[in-house]
Amino acid sequence: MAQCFMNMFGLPTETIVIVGGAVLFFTVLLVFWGLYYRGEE
Amino acid sequence: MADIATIGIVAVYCLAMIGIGGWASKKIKNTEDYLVAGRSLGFWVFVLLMIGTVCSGMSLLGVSGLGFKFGWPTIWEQIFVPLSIAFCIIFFGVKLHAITRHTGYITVQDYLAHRYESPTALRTLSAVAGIIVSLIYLVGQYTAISIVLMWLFEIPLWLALIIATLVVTIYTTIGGLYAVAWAALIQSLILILGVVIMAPIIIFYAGGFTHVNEFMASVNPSLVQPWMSEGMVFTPAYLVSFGVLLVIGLACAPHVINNVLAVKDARMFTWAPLLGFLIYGVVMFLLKFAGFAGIVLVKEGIFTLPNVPNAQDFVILYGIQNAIPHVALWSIFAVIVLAAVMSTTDRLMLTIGAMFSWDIYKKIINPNAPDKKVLLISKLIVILSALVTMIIALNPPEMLAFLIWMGIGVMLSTFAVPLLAGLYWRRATRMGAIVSMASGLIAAGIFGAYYQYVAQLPLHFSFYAVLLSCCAMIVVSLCTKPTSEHVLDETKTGWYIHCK
Repeated sequence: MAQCFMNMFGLPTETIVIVGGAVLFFTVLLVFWGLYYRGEE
Repeated sequence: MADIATIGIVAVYCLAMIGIGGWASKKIKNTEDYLVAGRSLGFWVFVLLMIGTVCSGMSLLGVSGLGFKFGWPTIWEQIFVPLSIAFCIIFFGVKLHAITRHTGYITVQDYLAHRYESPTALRTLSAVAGIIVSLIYLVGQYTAISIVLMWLFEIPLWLALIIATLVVTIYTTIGGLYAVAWAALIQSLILILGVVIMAPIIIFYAGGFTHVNEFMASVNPSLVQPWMSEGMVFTPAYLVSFGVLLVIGLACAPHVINNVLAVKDARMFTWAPLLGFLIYGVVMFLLKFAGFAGIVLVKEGIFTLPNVPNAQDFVILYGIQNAIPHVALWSIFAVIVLAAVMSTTDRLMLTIGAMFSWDIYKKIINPNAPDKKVLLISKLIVILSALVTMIIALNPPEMLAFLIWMGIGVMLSTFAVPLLAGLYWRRATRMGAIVSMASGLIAAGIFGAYYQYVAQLPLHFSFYAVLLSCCAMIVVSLCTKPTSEHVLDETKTGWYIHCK
């Protein structure tokens, strides 16, 4: 899998995992926020 | 001189912006309409206003430039800057909007004065600091506008500056935040579509994304690492301080945070953080990748950058010139950069107008001033701020780039702690806020000058200043009399975000 990423993007695996992981992490956090927050009541 | 198509495209864009100002001016009945658009901003206008306010022309050119110079270790900028939109909405916007429904704040200084029971001292200190930082930023924006106009039309600097100043000043002065917000809608759409189309063209021109990365790795393996090793700039420790600077520093900038006061309905804060993060994230990543492509294009001799100190900032302009060899299409890119610059410039000018006319004139100098007079002063200050910064930009100071970085650092050091402590810590007091703000401001100046003129620091200079500001807030607050309970309840202070 990691090798596949490396061939696809020409990047070291750790760069893809760390940067991609960070983007995914913040996206998921903000999705949770969207599901949690319902405006003022 | 540019051809008729180029002049036509840029002229249509400028006239459209002035047209929006004329349309918006009919909606202005009072100061609230002018400064917070009658608190009527809908979802997409708000999201795109936030993107437009955060995305400046300097960042548009600088993002690719930084990628060209340092490679993948700078990619965190592409995560942190879009994240500042989400941070601003969630940690400042939700509460401030809830409080504003009952208090009618016009500026964030209204909140600070109320929360810390400091109608004069803290309001004046924060308004003056906000005006200084915004003016520094404005000079940078006008310089960026003139760089693009000079590049495209081959006209002298003074003429480029006059054209840019006239267009922005006309629509901002007559239309207030209505004009700024609707102009931002158009500008952000131009920016997003333009970057999504043009950046991939540059990347494919350089051989494709994978080839660009492989080429960078062959030139220098550290260019494709997620951070740099010790002794270099973007080390993991430095990136933490860089993240704090960009995420929190931009989020608490007066021209960004004031946008949340103009939203029609708090339910818009539900998905605005995610969409702001993702949409602006895509734009920022593509710009960075275009900067990476520039490494291939320069090393392979496709083009040569000019022999100037900030040569890397020209990489995207030269990339467009070579990948899309038609001058009429360059003018579309020029409109993209103009849109990015103007969307920040107009908001900054309006924020300066608001801080002076509302916080200093109406709240301190002449509390009995009629609404019409406050509105008139707002407009005059918008024009004056444009004139002052245009004159400075005619002969930009040598340390301009340093001043702009100082600007974000000062925003973080000055506003972050008083705002966050004010919203979330009931023990934060007036004296704590004043000492915290003043010490943050002074420390940012000292650490910034040390970093610039004496020696490199392992962390971004603003990080030391914000730590000092935080310590000052805690120590002084614990040593002074607490804020009255009814004010803390009115301002919904406490360790929660969602106000039920």
